[in-house]
Amino acid sequence: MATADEKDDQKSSKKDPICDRSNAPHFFAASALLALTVVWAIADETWLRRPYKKYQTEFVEAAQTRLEQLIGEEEKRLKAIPEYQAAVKESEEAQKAFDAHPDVKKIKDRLHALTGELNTVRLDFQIARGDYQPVVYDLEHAWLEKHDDDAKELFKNVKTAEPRIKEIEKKLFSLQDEKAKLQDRLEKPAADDPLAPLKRQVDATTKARQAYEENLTALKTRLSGVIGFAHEIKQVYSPAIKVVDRCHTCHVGADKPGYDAAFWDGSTKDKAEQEHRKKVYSTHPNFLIDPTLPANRFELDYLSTHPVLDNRFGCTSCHLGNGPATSSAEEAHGLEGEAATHWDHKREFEINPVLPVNSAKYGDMTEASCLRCHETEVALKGGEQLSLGKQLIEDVGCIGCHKIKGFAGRELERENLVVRMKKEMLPRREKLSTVCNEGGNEQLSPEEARRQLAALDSEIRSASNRLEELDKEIKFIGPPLNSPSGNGRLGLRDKIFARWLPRWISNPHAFRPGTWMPNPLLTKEEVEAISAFIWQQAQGKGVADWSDDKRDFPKDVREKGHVLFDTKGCVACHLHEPGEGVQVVDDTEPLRTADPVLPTARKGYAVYALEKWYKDPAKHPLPKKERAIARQPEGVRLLRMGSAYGPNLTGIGEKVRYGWLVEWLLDPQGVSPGAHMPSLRLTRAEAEQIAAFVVTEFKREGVTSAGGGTEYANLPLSALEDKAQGEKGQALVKRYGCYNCHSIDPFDPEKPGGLDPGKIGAELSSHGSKPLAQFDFAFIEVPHYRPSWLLTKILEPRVWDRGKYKAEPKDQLIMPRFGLTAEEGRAITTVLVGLVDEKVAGEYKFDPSPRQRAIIEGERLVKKFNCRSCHIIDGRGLYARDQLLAEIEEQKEKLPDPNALASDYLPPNLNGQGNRANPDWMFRFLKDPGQYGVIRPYHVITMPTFGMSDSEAAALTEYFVALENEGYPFETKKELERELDDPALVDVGRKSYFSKERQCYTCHFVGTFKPQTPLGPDLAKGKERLNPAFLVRFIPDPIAFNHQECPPLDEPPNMRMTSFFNSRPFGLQPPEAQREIKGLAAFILKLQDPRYLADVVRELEGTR
Amino acid sequence: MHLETALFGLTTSPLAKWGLKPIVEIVTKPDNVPILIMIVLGGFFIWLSFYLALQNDRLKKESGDPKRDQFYPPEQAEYPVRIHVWPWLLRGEFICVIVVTLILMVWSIALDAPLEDPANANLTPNPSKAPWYFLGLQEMLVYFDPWIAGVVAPSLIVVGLMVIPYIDVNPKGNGYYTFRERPFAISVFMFGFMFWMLLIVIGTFMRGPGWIWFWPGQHWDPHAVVAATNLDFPDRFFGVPTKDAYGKLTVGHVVIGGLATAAYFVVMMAAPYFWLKKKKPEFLAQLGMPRYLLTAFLGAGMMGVVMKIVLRLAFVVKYVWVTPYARF
Repeated sequence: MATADEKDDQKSSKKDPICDRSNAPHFFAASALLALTVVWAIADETWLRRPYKKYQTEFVEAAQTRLEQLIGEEEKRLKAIPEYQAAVKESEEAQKAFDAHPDVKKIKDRLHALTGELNTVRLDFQIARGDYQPVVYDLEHAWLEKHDDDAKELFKNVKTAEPRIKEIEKKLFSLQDEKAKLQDRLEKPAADDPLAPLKRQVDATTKARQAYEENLTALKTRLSGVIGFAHEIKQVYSPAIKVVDRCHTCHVGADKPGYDAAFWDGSTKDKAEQEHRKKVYSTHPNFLIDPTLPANRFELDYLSTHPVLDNRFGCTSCHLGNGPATSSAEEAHGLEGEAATHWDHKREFEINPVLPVNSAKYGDMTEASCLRCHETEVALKGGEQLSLGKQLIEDVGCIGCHKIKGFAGRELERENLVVRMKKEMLPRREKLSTVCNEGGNEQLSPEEARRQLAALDSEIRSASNRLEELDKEIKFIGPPLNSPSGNGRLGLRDKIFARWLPRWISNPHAFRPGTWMPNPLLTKEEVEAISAFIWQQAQGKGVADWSDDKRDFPKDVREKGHVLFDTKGCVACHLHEPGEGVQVVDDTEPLRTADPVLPTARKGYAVYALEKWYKDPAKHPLPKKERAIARQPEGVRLLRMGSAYGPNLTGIGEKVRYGWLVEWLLDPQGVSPGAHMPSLRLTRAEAEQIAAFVVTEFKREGVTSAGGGTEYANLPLSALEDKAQGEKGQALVKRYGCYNCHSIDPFDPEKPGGLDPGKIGAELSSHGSKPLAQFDFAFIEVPHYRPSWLLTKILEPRVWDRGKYKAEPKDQLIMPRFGLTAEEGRAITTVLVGLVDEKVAGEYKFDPSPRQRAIIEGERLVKKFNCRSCHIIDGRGLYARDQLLAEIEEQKEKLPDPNALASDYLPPNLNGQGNRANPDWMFRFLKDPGQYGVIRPYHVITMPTFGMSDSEAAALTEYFVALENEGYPFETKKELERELDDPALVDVGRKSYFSKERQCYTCHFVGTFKPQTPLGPDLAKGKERLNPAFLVRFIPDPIAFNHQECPPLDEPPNMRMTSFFNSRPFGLQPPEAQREIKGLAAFILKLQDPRYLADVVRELEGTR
Repeated sequence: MHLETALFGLTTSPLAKWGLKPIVEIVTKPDNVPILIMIVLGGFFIWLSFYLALQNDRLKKESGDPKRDQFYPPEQAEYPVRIHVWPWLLRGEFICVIVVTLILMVWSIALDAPLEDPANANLTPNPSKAPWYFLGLQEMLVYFDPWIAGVVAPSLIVVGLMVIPYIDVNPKGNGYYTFRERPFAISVFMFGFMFWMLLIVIGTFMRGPGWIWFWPGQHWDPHAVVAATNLDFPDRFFGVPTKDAYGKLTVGHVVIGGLATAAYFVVMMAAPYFWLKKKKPEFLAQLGMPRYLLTAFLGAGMMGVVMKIVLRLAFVVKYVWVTPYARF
């Protein structure tokens, strides 16, 4: 019997299922598939994973075709120019003539031969030197290692090789010299050379031809650049700001000038393709590569100050996105799907989505990135949306409820100072004074203690001075709701009518469209409770002291008030017609009682079309009010400036009491310290007249709005006095945080028993870095995208409660609705998106020079005091021009000079103020304009007293000086002053002043003297006020000091002085005129002397 | 106790969004491809081994030759039983090598490594999931004290696998597929293996943000809220709270929980003994008492994990027995 193994080894007659089966088909199929996969892998590695190659190829092809097309067009254009054809012919002939000269032919032949010879000799030289250098190396090492025999041998070799090298070298140099000389003769023949005239002819004709071909050459150069384009990843690397950007790997044209929209227009018939090219391959806007840029880069376009390609800024430092990603547009832009190529995103992709540019919804959100380095500037060139947002955050009052880094610096300073005072300085002072009284102790001698005490005292004094200043500068967002406190101040009850309060709280926008007070979206019960609380906590002198209904003023009082109102300049800050500058939109329904309207569906408020103006004041002058209303039904209310700065006075009589208004007009700072309203230095009679006019005249008729709170008109006073309601209201005020913007006694920590509940809102200092997952998108269908959430929140703050069940009111959202427009909302969003945690290296932070800092701070104050409403400053301003002119026109016959133009009464233009006036005078004038009497007696509009702090007045003065780039300490000015202090010169001036040609006395006031045509400012205080250098420049050429950039230009300028010296600058005047001008200046300065002034006035009276 | 939450403690809100999109998104994540492959391949090889084992058992029963398998049914018995490795085995393996290389290449080209955002300790991903091969352990953390789920149980699994050669005294089944000759060993191993796979599948496809249970097709809502009202065993069934008002363990809890735990192990280890003694005394004798006790302990431990999961999902029981040292 065979064993199993034997049996196994036996060949079977039948076919074996394994051994007899062919695996070839399987093997072939598997191998073929593997080969295909290898091909796929190679394609994946070289092409599929590198989509940028597609973009680069596409760009090169498109650009090449377009450039060739442009070159063709250019050639065609040139062909059509006969002069060009002539120039070409001429240059060709000149070249032919030059080439035909026998010398030229000889030189060219010789040059050709020389090139060959040189190549041969150069090769010889290289070989000889190559043999020589290793021997020298060996020699040195033989010396070093002391192989003396070898060294001797090697030294001999070196010496043998040297003569041959020298010989070859000599030959090489002589050939090179010969070649250079011949070439020189061809290029620039010497003057006595027979070739010279021919060459000159060639040069001249070529130049003429090239002038025509400039464009063509440029295009051809570009074309050769495009053809030689290297397909590779391009990268910018800036370790300081952690930027690794490859954006221009695909955006190939972005870093090359000339590929703008105009270049791609018409590059292809396919419209979509054309748009694609414009979007992907266009040159970056404002792109500028110019090595000859002026050194002062502060004024330049932002791309030249932020070089993107020299490893400094890159792209993602502004645009965000994932700089190193080259695998797909989605990943690079950090956006999903379709959104990757559209700016209106659906959802954030993995990380770091690109910020929108030119988006219909978000505007230029990229400006948010400016904030990382530019924290201080108020108005940033190229960052208009951001600047607007920063302005709005202060105007709207976001900083009332939210702490935001970089805002409300003064509040922070004050807080720190108070803490230091309380916790540090005062306790230390107490200790020191004890030590002093005890006559010193072991650590301190009595003298040392006294010295330290004195030092501390001066420190405390300066700190408390600064605190006083800060108290003046800092203001609550909203008006105070306190009871009166000492100094005869008035409280809320003295100010307003009880019945107005609930009406206002229920919907401020209905009463005063365009007010910054947001709609707190309260229920009826809440309105009543809060009104009761506010009314009860604000004690007043008592209702009995003020007649509620004093409205029966005599007609003449009201009329006098009317004149004063129109001519004092009230309209510079206040609108007073119903709906003026705004459009009322009904949005009175609180969120909780009705389905909220989504931002896209709601209409906006309309105020001034300031947006365009803000972006480009030169191109878009401020529109006239009626045009603004008519054309901008859904326009924008952007900045609180010009006549929109103060509250619209419509319906003011329904709000405030007459008695309070009189006190307020007399001394706004006294009634409410820190108020924006300046004092107009009125007499009590004047104040009473204006108040009488205002409370009777400005009606709310014409402003219609459903649910405007009129249902509270009949609310009995007893409802406001109900204690239980008051307590309920206090709890509500605590929840809604009214005290964050208004000072309210029970919530004032500095008042006895006052609470300090702190800021009600979340800190927003790093909202741009808050993880997206922490934003509650609730049930609202908006893109899950940071700007989208913020924009929706800002426009419709409580929308996230929609569809949610919140049984407890305290769980509900409390942010009020500000009634902002989409533009305003996106501006604020831009700031919030820009507030990121990320640190930027110090060198990248914008560090303003002292001059820039002065301008930044000055601009802030100019905005704060609304200076530009009346004055033109730095080429912009006089925003209230239309309002002022209309009112002056109305009252013209009651003005000092009825014949003057209305524009003659406009406030002075302050362009050039920095070198016109003395800084000391400016400072004192700003602090108290009243002390200087009247400079321009023909003006009726009063420069009011703003109650500036010392530092504010100083900063404004510095600002004016900085604008003119004037430097302290005016050494030249002192010199000039000394020169002008010369009696002879004064006499020259005096003679000229009274001369027939000049007749200065016909227009200028001098002290008590009133001229025939009262149009010139009072010259009596010239020395104190005016810079003598300015006088010398101004007198010969006053027209040069006209407004240069103020809108609109077609109206007569308000500089009325004509030139008596042929409008020539001082330097170009003949010597005798120069002396006369200096004399006039000296005369004006001399008028400061009272005795001299009296003498002059006497003479002036004689001229009548 | 809401019925909804009692049964599986899951989000079963009728308002929750359902659809194909969520499950497609989760299944097609590059992370989860190995799990899918695991399901398919695991299923296939289990089927294959059982198919061969049963076929073999049948052949063996008919022919009495244990070396015969399906490629050599009795009618083909004249073929050689053994052939050479080269070339007959290696040429087949070579094709397999090509196919596997092919699969790996296609996989690596088509699916990118699932890289996520740079790690940020302040912003951790939700859900935070372990690598797929640890998802079973992570899923166990839902039901046990971390010390039990993370240390004791894995150690016991490893030790249990290591002692198999010492407690498995059945010499049969070497080198061929069979089920009939080792039904106990194969059943226990298959149970444990499939249970572990199930935990991985649950961890991958059912656990969403907050490690909340989502059914396939249910939207993974990061804001989803489910009741977390688990009570300990004595509390749930006897109303004895685990801790008193001052946070101290109650005697009642320790006694009831301890007894319940002890009773479980005693019953699980004693009952098979008596059953075997009656039905298969020779097997018991072959095994011997120490080996029996070890086997029974490991088996009771494995079944204990399953029991605990059932208690949690069906009865909302948090722990059976809480002691100051560990919670069971």
